[in-house]
Amino acid sequence: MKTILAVDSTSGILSVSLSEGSNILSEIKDDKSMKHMINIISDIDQVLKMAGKTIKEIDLFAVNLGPGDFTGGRIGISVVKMLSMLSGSPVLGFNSLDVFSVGCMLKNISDVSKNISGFSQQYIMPLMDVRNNEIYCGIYEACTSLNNTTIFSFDFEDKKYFLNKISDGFLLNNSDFSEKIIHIINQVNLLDRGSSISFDHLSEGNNYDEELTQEKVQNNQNESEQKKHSYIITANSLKTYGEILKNIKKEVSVNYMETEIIFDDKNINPSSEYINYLADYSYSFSLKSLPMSPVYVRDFIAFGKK
Amino acid sequence: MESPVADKSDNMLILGIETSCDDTCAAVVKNGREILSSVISSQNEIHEKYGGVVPEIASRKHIEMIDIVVKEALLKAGSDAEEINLVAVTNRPGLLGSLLTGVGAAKAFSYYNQIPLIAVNHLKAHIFANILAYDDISFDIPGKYISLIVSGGHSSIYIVDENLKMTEIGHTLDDAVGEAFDKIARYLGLGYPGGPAIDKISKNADPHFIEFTRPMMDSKDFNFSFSGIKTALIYRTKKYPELMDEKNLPDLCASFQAAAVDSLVHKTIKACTEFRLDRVLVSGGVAANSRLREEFMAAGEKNKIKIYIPPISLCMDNAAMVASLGYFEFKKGHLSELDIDVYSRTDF
Repeated sequence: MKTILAVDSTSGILSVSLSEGSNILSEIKDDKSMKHMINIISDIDQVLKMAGKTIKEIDLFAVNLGPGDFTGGRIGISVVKMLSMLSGSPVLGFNSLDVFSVGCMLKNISDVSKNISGFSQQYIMPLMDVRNNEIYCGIYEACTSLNNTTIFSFDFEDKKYFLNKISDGFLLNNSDFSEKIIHIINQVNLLDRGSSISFDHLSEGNNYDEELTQEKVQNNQNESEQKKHSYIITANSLKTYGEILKNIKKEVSVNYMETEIIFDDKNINPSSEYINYLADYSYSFSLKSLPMSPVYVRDFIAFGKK
Repeated sequence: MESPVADKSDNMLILGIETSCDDTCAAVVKNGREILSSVISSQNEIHEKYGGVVPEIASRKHIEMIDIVVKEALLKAGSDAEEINLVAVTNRPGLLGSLLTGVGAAKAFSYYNQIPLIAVNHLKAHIFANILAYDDISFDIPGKYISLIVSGGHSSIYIVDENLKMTEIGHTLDDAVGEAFDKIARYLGLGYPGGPAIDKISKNADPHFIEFTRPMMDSKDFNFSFSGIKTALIYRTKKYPELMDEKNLPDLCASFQAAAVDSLVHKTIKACTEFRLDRVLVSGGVAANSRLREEFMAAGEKNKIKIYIPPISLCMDNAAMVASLGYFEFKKGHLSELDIDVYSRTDF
């Protein structure tokens, strides 16, 4: 079992955690916002001491590559990259959306398992406010089958649950956000189990699609049965886009029998312990890692707007 | 972390890290004066199309390169990480997003290997390019130097004493001289960075083609101003566009360069007279300028003032000078804790 040190400095809360495999031994959440550079080494040192370990005993380093609230993500990445280089232990980096989705699944695991046992398809949608009137979105499915998009697994009440990545992160403009979310839900409802989908085309330009505005959430009628779909929306857009999301939830509940949206507001900031889980799973199954660079949601256009 | 005072006999290997602007640098220096390796990853090609450094783009590059340059510096020095005795890193002044990367990496190195860390001032580090190049500069004996730092971001004169204390006596009131070179070069279509381009085209050209008014030559202070000559050139070329023709361009550039250099040399020598000092340390990227080097050496001879200018490779940003400064700070008993922050501006 690997001793894993994980760091998340992408939000106002700096978190560091140590685990043996997926068994968290110690963690720190430091909310002295904007002071991550000041606190990062002492927090790492403290987490190690709490678990009775030293920095040289770390088998695997892991870090949140962002995107995040501000440029603090870089601090964690540069520290962890150097520790990895010096120790020879590998380092794995994860997208914020992955971190949020694991957090969401774990924090709502009993509802998730209930829905899945009740033959509902369970989706998790982290929606991140990344400023610039944009929202960075991801779509994951929690289910009982493993496939080649699985990023995490968790045992709960004698059953094994898997978190599968349905879509890579994509960016939506907040001007037509509601219509696009409805559209996305319709598309995802139609998906076969185990397949994935891309929504990159929704990010391009600011096309106001007439069809989308009229689209209601559609019933997904199979010949024999109606599939039920549950969406848990999580991450920080619940704070800043609360009203829009409430309206979307209302529209869905009014117009559609078998799709529900619930909000997970226990997961507004990412937390490093979810990175421990992701790293443990990723390492155990030799999953391909992201390059050790921050995740940028948009290219930087100097001196001009896109 | 405990701060042991360095003992007299030492064989110290210092790792220097520098990420304050757009070059990601790492170096290994022995005992503050001997460069074992100096690695620079430059971003010139990227910023060239913008005519200057774009902070966000610069920050992004640093995080990509930081572990690579450190590894390369160790490799080239033939040193293992465990053999390093001290980590020195620039934490001020500079671009915040860029500084964060170097300082984060330096802290990690210090923490992992349980060795001391010293965070240094980038401008002060430029001065130490001279210490690396010239053995006869010492801070072990009392004495002061006049220090001129000229770069893309700075044009200031200081007095430096044996405790490494820097007292500013003059600075630019508008553009830094390097900045003025960049702007003129961009205006004339000569590319980025501007200093080297203007230097090159001005070689063998006539610096008296146009006598631009040397800025602030008669003011009693030691301040500089470069936007005046910049404006004068632009105004002149708008009035007489033929000045920018291929046959006139070298002379035009040489004249501009001469005006800028003259004011730097004149004020520096004046500072020596005023403060009764006879040793000058010139440093910073613009110290690579050939006219500046010639004029300073001539003025030094004429006024019996010893002028130190680093070899050209040490004038631009590098981590060897950071390591050197770190060593001398350490020997003076200065150290940093692992909770140091980064600063975009600084008093020393």
